[in-house]
Amino acid sequence: MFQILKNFYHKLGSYPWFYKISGKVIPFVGVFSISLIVISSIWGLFFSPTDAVQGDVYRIIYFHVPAVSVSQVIYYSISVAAAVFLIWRMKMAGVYIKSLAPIGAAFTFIGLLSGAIWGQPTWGTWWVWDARLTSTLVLFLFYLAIIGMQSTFASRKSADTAVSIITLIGVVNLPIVKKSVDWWNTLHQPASISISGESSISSEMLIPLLLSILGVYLFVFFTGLLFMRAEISTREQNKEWFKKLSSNN
Amino acid sequence: MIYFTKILKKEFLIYSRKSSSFIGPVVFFLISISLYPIGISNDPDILKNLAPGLIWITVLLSTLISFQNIFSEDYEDGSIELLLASGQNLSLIVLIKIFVNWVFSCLPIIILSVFSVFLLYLPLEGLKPLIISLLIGTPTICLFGALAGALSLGKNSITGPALMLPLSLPVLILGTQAINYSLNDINFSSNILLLTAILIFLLPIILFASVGALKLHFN
Amino acid sequence: MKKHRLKRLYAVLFIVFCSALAFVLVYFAIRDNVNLFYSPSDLFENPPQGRNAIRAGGLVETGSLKRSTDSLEIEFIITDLKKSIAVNYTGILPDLFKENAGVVATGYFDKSKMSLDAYQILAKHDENYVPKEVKKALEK
Repeated sequence: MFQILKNFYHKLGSYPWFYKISGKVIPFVGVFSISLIVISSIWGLFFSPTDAVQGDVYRIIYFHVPAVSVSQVIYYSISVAAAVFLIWRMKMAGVYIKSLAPIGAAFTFIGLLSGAIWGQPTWGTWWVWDARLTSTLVLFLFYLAIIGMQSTFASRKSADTAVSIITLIGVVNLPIVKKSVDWWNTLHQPASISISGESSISSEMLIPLLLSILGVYLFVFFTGLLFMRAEISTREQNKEWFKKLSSNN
Repeated sequence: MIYFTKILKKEFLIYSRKSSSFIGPVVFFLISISLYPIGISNDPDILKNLAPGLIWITVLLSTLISFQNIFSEDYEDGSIELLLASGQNLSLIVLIKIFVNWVFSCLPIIILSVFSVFLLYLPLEGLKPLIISLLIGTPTICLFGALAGALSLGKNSITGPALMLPLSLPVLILGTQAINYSLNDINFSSNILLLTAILIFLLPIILFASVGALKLHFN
Repeated sequence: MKKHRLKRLYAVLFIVFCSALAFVLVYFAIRDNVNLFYSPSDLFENPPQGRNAIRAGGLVETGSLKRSTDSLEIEFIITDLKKSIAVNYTGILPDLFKENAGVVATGYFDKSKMSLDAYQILAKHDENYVPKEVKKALEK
């Protein structure tokens, strides 16, 4: 078992192997994720019941929760990649961070924007400096720092090293984002979905929400593969295997 | 561990033998502190308000002198090159160097700053935050100084260390604010905590960055 | 793991450990400023110093809401079920503002009267989402 995992890990580091496999997976994931997002959006916007307190405004949850949730998961994953890059010097980890950071930034932005649109009618304000909102903004700034650092170094290797260190520092912010609503008095309400206990959202509303979360996760997987392939082809455009591949097509 | 104490001992010996390295900052500090009452005013009310900032800025400037020779002598006699080639843990050696440099250039000044309290008429309740903020703030400044020293290796100029002055602004602000808070009966512990946080946060990053900067000179 | 990789692993752990420790210290340093609002009990125990605007939060006490007939002026009581403070405000309220619901009021606190002169009212909603029909059925 360990040997299989180890083999898989070594294969992950190989550009040609990744390029070949990802090309096969992409169409399926793309079609599946986009149709999931369409189905869950229609279900959430038109067929799930109206909330007793907030009315129809609450339906923005079907965009807000998947976006902020995936933005945190992406950050966790790129910080694992950062540690892998710093310890094993696996080049693929650098490609992963560079490709996933813009996606994470985009989803954090969608989360902040949809939160503001939701906050205006319910709370009475677009923005408030409470712990949840501020720490999410910090997450967004870390993403921007990661994107900005990419172009400030002469060599690819030193850029990837510096970016990995920044990423690792930012990982400390994630538990704060998650726990801020429990630790401090915030305007933002605590989490509704619970993995261990009972969720405080009724099941007719929960099912489309879970579907939309799954859809967005798969969509990130899909765009992540696309971005990584693009990044690999820029880094490896002069290599033998890549030339062979592109001349075949 | 034996290796660790050996290097520590060696560094202490080198510093204690070359008296100019720690007498320079001390003399600079004492002279500037005694110039303020003459140059500005010897009115206790005026000096009292300026004292926290004056002491902190003077400490900052006097430690500046010592940063040039934190790596330069080792660079000139070739011992850094030897260490790099030997494959020893360079970050540990850099850490020891920074620590010993702090002991010889900053610690005497911190002890002497007790007297500056009387020269500048700072009320006595300001002494405790002054000493604590200096004890925690100056190591951060030494870290900046070491990075600047590693980057400007081989060039004997003050521009390298002067580069770290803008970086040390947060430390300066938090340090003087802590003293001013205690004079106004406001709890200053949050400033001390923030100073500690800055030090701990920067310690590994600057340590590895200085090692990287040292290696750059030999590639 | 090879020796040089192990060394780099320690370096990575060292960086993460130090930044985590630094964040904890920052958390302790700004602990009092992180809470968005004071509860009425906080205001009774440690009344805020100075004349800065503060935020107070809690539930709007049932039956305490008084509206003026000819202006937008309103008065109500914020409670955390232990202590309560009076709030007066002039302006438009958010949609979700009602009795027995969460609210955060920003304004100037009067220590002698234990009342808040608010210039902004924010509604706080909870994490429960229940369909309208189910709620109606439950209340019957």
